[in-house]
Amino acid sequence: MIRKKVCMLGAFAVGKTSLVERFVKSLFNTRYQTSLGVKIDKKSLAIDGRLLELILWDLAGEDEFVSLRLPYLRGTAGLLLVVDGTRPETLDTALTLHDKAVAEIGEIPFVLLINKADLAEGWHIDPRDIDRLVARGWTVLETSAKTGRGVEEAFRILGREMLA
Amino acid sequence: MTAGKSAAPRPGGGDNDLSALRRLLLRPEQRRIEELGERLENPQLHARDVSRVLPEALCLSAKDRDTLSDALTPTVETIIHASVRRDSRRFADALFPVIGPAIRKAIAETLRQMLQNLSEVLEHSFSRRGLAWRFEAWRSGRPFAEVVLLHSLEFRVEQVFLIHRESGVLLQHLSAGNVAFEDAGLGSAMLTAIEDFVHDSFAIGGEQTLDSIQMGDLTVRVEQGPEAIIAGAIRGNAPQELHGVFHKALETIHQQQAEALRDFAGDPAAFETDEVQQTLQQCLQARYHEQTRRISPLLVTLLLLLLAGGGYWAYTGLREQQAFEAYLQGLDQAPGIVVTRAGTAGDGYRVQGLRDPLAADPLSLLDAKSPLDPQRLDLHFEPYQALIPSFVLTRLQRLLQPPETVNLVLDDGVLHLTGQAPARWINEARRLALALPGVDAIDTSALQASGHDELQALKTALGEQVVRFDIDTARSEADAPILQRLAHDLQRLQRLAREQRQTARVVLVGHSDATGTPARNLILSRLRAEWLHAQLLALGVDPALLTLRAAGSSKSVSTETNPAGQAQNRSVTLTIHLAPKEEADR
Ligand SMILES: Nc1nc2c(ncn2[C@@H]2O[C@H](COP(=O)(O)OP(=O)(O)OP(=O)(O)O)[C@@H](O)[C@H]2O)c(=O)[nH]1
Ligand SMILES: [Mg+2]
Repeated sequence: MIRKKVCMLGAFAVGKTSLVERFVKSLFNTRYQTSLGVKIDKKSLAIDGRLLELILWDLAGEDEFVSLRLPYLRGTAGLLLVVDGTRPETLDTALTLHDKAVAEIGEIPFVLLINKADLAEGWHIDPRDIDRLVARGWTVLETSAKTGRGVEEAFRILGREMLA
Repeated sequence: MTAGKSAAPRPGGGDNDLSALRRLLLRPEQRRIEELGERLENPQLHARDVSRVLPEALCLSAKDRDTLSDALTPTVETIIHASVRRDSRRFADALFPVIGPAIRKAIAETLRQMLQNLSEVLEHSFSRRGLAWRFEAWRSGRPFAEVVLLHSLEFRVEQVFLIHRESGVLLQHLSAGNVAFEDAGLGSAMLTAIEDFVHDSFAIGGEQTLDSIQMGDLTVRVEQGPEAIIAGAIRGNAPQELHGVFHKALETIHQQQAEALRDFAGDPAAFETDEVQQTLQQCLQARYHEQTRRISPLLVTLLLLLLAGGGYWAYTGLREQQAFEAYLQGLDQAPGIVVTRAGTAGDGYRVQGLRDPLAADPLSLLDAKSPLDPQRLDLHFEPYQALIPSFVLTRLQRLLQPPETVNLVLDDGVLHLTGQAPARWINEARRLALALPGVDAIDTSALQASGHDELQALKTALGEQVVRFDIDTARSEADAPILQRLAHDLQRLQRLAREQRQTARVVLVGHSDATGTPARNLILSRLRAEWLHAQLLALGVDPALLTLRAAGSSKSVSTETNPAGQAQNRSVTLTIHLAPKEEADR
């Protein structure tokens, strides 16, 4: 068994906590309760016959009041950058956070999630931005904590990359 | 490679041609072979070659670290040893930059532990438990701090986590006995998260680390290493010294697993070894003591009371002992009391000795204020006679019962009697007093017998007595009362004389007047004396007292020749003789 620390990064209310909940407990709650500090969960995945235990650090979302606590990133093996598809500015936040993380702990595997896919009709993210990122080699996934779409897949992809 | 090439050609063709060809073809190779041979034979060249590859070889070998370090360790140790012996100063210089901080760190850690112990001691000093411990310390003769420490070790390390410091990923987890822990992996991550959170929230400087977290009686002790963390969940009162235990374990793990820690990529299997398990186990087995028997306050009170009672008992015992000794001294000094043996007997005191019945009552000699209880005195005195003058005198007084007119003085064994006393008493006193121990002699020279004067008076009176007779008769006209008085006086005379240790003799002398013939007068006078003698004997006078004498008319009472004088001469007179008894006996 391999244990890996994974951090959920993203602007506030993008659905980081919801994604972890969905992934770990298969639950979804429409009520929004902003996270403070950090909440830790874990989930095991079998990838290519190996058991991977993800230690999920759900950090408080970034906003104009709260900025990323860099110490939490120490020892992180993978990142999930979460963007709220209905709020284009959260993509910028995600990019900024990525840069900060890289500056702090170096290049590590990560996946960019465009969340709230069930609200796709309300999405305001420019697809060209996404294409540009994909072109840079980024892995971008559409997810929905509400329906569960892409969630398991996102964690699996990140897990596989971390094991590589 | 070269060797491979030279071995490859197979021989063929004529001998000479072949050797010429071989020389032509292989000369350079042959020369190289010779060169190589020389290199191998020549130690100098060989060393030079080895030295060229040595660093690389060491680097390669370091990857298989155990073999190399095992091989090198004895040599390196010898080298260090030799180096220190040869020039210890050089070694000291090299160590200088690190030794200071190392010592400072050690001292700081020691002081910290000491302070912690001290604060524990203080904390426990005044609590009820603390008092119980104090009592235990007093009872067992151990220093109080040690007792406190012993009790402080009542704890149990229930869980030990070995955590990868950077990622917070759990490397290894052990729990004590039956303690279940749901999710160690999550716990370890949370622990590091907490540390991060604390750092973050309270703006604590970089080098400071999380030491412990406390929740109720559960303490999580954290020991930080460069690569890994040991955290222990401890129930109960975790002593500071546990840090030492954790620290040591952590050091061991860092030493043994240095590489695995450095290269850690999420696979805890590398720490799944017996080595690590054993090391962590040492943290777990951290001694926890059996629950000490709580001493009930009642018992303590009881013991204290007993103690106080014992103290009081010892105190009163001492006082009593002193009082007893004082009492013995008093007894010994008292006249007429001799103590022959004394001591404690059972619950009280026993005194044996001799006591003159005239001596003071031994119990009365006990001071009323003495703490000694008379009830607990067992006194045994044999009676004896003390020859103390005052006692002898008292005894004489009792024995002789002298009249008030007598004074008794005992001087060096001689009893001096002065004053006046009846002769009979004096005689008895002489006899009795000498029988008394302590009286060697009696002096009565200054003692006058009180009957003496009376005797003399009586003698005179009797000497003047004249019993008259009629003419020519031998019968007196004296009536009975006169004779009775006479007899009485004679008896008294005899008694008084005896008392005065004298012998009395009374001669009855018969007389006649000158009218008749001398022969007839002699007979008549004798008859008259005999008559009185008979009368007196009849009245009870002792015959031994009386003798008779006939005087006729020769010893006339009166020389008158007239009728009155003649009448006087017809009579019996009494002549009294008193002589000291010894004289009379002779
Ligand atoms: N419809 C829909 N709502 C979502 C989805 N994910 C999250 N939400 C809602 O978005 C709100 C915020 O979700 P959270 O998971 O709390 O967001 P967060 O990123 O953890 O927010 P912070 O902790 O404040 O940074 C909640 O009301 C969620 O119910 C989703 O996929 N679809
Ligand atoms: Mg949240």
